[in-house]
Amino acid sequence: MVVSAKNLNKRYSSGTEAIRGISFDIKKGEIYGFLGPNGAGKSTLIKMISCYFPATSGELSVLGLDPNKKASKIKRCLGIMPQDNNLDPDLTVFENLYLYANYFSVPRKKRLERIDELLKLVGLEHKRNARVTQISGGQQRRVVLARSIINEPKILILDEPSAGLDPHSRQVVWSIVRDLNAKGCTVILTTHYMKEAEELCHRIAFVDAGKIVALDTPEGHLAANNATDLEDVYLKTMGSSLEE
Amino acid sequence: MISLRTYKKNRGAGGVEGRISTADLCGGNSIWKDLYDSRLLWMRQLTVFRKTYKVGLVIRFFEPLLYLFAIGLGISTYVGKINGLTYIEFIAPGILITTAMWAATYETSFAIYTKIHYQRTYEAILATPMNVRSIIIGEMAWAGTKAILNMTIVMIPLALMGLFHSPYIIVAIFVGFLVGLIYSAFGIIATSFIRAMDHYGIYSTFFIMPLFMFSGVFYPIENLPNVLAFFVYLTPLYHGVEAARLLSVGDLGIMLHVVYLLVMVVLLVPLALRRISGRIVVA
Ligand SMILES: Nc1ncnc2c1ncn2[C@@H]1O[C@H](COP(=O)(O)OP(=O)(O)O)[C@@H](O)[C@H]1O
Ligand SMILES: [Mg+2]
Repeated sequence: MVVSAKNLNKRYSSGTEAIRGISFDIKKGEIYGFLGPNGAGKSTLIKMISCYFPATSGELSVLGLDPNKKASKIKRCLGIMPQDNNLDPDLTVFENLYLYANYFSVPRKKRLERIDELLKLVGLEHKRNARVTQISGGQQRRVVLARSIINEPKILILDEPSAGLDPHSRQVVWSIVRDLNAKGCTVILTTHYMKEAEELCHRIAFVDAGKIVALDTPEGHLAANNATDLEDVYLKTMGSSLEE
Repeated sequence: MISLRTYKKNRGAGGVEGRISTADLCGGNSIWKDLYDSRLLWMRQLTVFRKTYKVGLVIRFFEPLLYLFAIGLGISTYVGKINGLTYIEFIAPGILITTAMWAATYETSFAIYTKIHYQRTYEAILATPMNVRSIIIGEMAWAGTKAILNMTIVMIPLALMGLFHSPYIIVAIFVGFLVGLIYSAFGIIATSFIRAMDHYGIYSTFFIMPLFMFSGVFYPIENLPNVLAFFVYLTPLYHGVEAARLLSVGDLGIMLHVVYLLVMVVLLVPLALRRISGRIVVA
């Protein structure tokens, strides 16, 4: 298992119980999606897997390691695309990528090659020296994606990857995710967007109020609920509608 | 009764209740690893600095001259020599050391607040092998670097004007580095309490300015009432200023001042770390 969680709980210092006893196993090479409404706890879950903060209780192992003991080692192999763009506005696109690679100690020469390669991949070679405040939201999101894979991660973690994306950027992001996955990269993503889950995920966990309420392949979900699309499954499992 | 060890073992990573400690957020890294990693944050600061440094350097060069001329020349006609020094010679070492204080204060107040709450710079960096400890140590090291840099620039005109009587004044840069680290810890601690940018006014008016005014920069603190002088003895800037003044006349008897500053660094740095980590990662 690439990620394995047993009875995971997260209670914020504010008292909010965001995750209440979640267990799951993510296999190598799969695209695993957490689908659920705003406030379900998806980002909280992602942050624990990303070693951003520890779980309050329960067991979590990422790449066979304990995030409480080997966070740096784990993070070296993770690519994390956060829900909101947090590029460094003081810097250009190139500088953002360059410094990020530096945190991963990618050797200098390799770093330059990798940046060229990634800018091409996300179609932003012409924005290389633009300040990040001078490019569009969709372009920023693509830079965030490029940044997240600069260390050639074993696990790519995407928190609402297509939130706020124009259709073109969304296609770019999806195709990159598929390509990376085809090369063996495990992908974990969260979304509240049915189409995205349907298009990308091998397995989907429905999350609501800090719990996994259903887990299956997209086809499995459809069959189990006698449904024609995920929206339908969603309504049947959660009994409430998703806002887009 | 449970022993401390069992308690630590059982409490899990999230702590028993409430706030998560810095160690819990450091994911098992040793302090040495984090010290080593902190250079990466320092390099980030350097990258940003290199984009805008020229204007800053010019300002740093002229600012102390303004102090010297406005305060020094104006007042020096009313005061005679202090301990054998002209008034301008008397205040020059203090001006030099306070440069370190201003540099560190600037780097660790608005700058860090913005990175936490507006730019979410640290959130992005935490998705790499860095952690809160390596980030904050890097910030402090950077503040110390800026202290050294600004002092060096300030020292040039002051030295050219012949205000220092001994080349030992060079050592004051090390003293200023310690003052910079102390004030970076103060700045970070203040940032950990602040809920809005405007609140820095409280910090500067009720903390930075009094410590600056009552630090022996402008007059010997022996002139103060005993009680006040006692409090001044407790403040780090005073020890920095005294040390620099001794050095400026070739007196190397600064050991106690340096020891005091080192002790402050050792006490304040962990405190700053503890205070700020929970503000960077709201867990
Ligand atoms: N830093 C935080 N401190 C306290 N509560 C939080 C924090 N972040 C999120 N929450 C709360 O935890 C719950 C889950 O949030 P989140 O994980 O962001 O959900 P999602 O990503 O599924 O929208 C929500 O009730 C949210 O308000
Ligand atoms: Mg979220």
